[in-house]
Amino acid sequence: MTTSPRHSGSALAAALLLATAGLTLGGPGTALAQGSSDANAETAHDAENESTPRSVWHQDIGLGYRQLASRTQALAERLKASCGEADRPALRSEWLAAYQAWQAVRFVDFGPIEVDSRAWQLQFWPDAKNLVGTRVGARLRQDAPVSADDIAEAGVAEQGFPALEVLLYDDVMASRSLGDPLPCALAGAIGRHLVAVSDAVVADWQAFAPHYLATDSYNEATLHGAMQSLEILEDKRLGEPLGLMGAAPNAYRAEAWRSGQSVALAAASVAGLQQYFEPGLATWLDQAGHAELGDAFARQLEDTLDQAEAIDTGIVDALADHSDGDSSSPAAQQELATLYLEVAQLRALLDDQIAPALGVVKGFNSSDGD
Amino acid sequence: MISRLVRRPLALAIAASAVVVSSHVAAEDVTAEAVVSHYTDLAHTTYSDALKTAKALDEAIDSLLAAPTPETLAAAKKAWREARVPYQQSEVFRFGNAIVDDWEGQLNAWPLDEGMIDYVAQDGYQHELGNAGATANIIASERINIGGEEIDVSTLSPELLAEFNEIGGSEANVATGYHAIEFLLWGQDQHGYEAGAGERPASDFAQGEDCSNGHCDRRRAYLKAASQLLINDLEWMVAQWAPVDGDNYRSELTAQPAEEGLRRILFGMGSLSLGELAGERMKVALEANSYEDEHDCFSDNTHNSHYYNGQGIQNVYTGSYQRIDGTTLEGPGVEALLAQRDSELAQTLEQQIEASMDALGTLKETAERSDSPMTFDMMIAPSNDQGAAIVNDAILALVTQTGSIEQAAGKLGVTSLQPDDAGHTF
Repeated sequence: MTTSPRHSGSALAAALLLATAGLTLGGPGTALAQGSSDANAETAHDAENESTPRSVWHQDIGLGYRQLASRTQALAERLKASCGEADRPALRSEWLAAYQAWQAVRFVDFGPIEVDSRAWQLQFWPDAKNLVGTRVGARLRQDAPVSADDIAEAGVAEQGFPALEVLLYDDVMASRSLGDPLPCALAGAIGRHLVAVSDAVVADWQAFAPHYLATDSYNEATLHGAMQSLEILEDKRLGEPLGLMGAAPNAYRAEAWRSGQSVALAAASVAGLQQYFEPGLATWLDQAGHAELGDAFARQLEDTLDQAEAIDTGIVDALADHSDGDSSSPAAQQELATLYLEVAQLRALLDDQIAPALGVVKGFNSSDGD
Repeated sequence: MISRLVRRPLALAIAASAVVVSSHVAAEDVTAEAVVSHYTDLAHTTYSDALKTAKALDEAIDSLLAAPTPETLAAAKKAWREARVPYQQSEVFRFGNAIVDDWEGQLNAWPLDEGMIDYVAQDGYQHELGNAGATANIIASERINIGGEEIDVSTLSPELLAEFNEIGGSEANVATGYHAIEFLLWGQDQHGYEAGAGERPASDFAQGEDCSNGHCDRRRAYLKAASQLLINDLEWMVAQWAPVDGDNYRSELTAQPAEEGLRRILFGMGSLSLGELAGERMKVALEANSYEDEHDCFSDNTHNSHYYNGQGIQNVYTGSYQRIDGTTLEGPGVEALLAQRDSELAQTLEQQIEASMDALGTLKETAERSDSPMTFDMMIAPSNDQGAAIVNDAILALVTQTGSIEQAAGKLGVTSLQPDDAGHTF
């Protein structure tokens, strides 16, 4: 089982290899990163004990990963304790908390999270053709019991938070109890897999420290990750389902359409940028003599988060109300459109003002294709 | 549907601070202008071959329709496979040249919800969620309704089919192009991860009593219209790259500063290599074990689509393209220019592209070997470690070469790899 990357060990060597050869380039070793950024040179001269952008980021992101590991652990323990119908509300709540903890660090798209496609193991998305629903549905029809190994060795559509969402919310479960042996075992196995992935990321992130701290171009890689995450949030997670990208609205494009938690997940992503990305960025901007841009970014983050947390309607509900002609729907959609605009402003600030001020240009990324 | 005729403004995305290409290049050396000019020759020649093979496909389709037999159907399938060879090499021109990217959806969009076109199996047809057109079945209908829009489809023409692309706002609504024709020739692949492709009977195109699965006359008309539209579209693109004085894309591109041409060239190479081929077309399918995400899912020709995508990148890098008649077009490629700036990087990238062609070659050979071939949809099956390793080797090789393409861009003075349309539009 050593040939498939999903099953291969997560040794540091693999982390380093894939960190430089991950699907999201912009990491170390890219020519555009070098020579174009004089801000890099400045950070290299810092005294040993002084904070650098990367020393701040490494610590903050590590905190975020530990938070993810602790929330998935809590989820797995609750699943282990019981998964009867009566436990469904509590399970949903633990599921959401862990899923949000993942959103908070989802902007990091290099390093240990790239190994074995761990990000997809946690959340395979987008999923226009409903692979998650199809694969989990097939599991629910299988005769043999489900083991933890089955899920550990399955495709990413069966491994992550969306697969658990099917069990906790989908109609496929309407006619059977969550506490039945098969769904219960399946949920437990997915929960354990989430713990295994999260724990591995925590450990590998620590082991990754020397390389991350010693490699200047990870400044750019970290910034690129945040830029990419805001692009996905604006265009894919909000714009497409809401019909703001040139096509008709389609609620199925919302990432958590089954649970109606898409906005809660978006809010967690913005909060994660505030907690785990913004301080390191502010350090970099300070050192580059652009503290005012750091302040502007912090303010816009706050505004965006306020807007996201003020919305209590999910994307699915807002769109559903609309088709029914319900009079409350325009207001709900207006709130979502405002959130979309706040995110767009945040992204524009980062892409068009902050990145150029730091001498960073965009390279290839994994969404350059279709 | 005339959007493909509307050109986007060719905004200069090069930052004002762009590094100026060094001026001490000796007269006999390769210039950026020469590389861009030869690039347009490569594009013109590749699209011309795509057009030739599409016409051959059209003739094979005529033979099939004249006498629908297993033999004529097999000949049409063979012609389709041959038509893919130059077209897949042309995809390196797609990203970076908005005129191609805006146009190509009508020819090569995927994955498609084939139930919009023709009959599909009752069980196991997984279409895009929320797609109102996914089960429209144009062939079986005189009128269809998609998302409240009532459309008369009684007469199937190239123009009518073109109107259906992305109807209702879904990219999975693909009524035209190579994959629509592929579906009509092969039918749905019902074999999942097992050996075997689509098995549409030739009698699906028979007239009168012999017709299988109903509506054969409309299926025949649909196939012919789709084939005609493919030719029309390719003729238009060949003209865009033709070496003529006048109003076409080639003139527009060569009139730009050469650095802008280089930017589009390198953006096209890198985007196809990383995001599209390594990412969308291989990694998603592999990691999710998803044959629904297989590129040529009806014909199981995916290995060739991937291989010739890689070949297109190599063509642009080396400046050399082998035509379908076996002759070779040679000229200054990116490599020749890069060698003047950084001979070590030029050599490294050459070797990396060679390595990715080797990896894609292994994928192709494994799918085509006579002794128990393993096609792409078998490679991505759960627990097929050997298949996963083959696909992963190709992905890693492509990722590695993209890193060097990005470095090459830096060396050649290209400071922004943003596509033309990446700007913020709100």
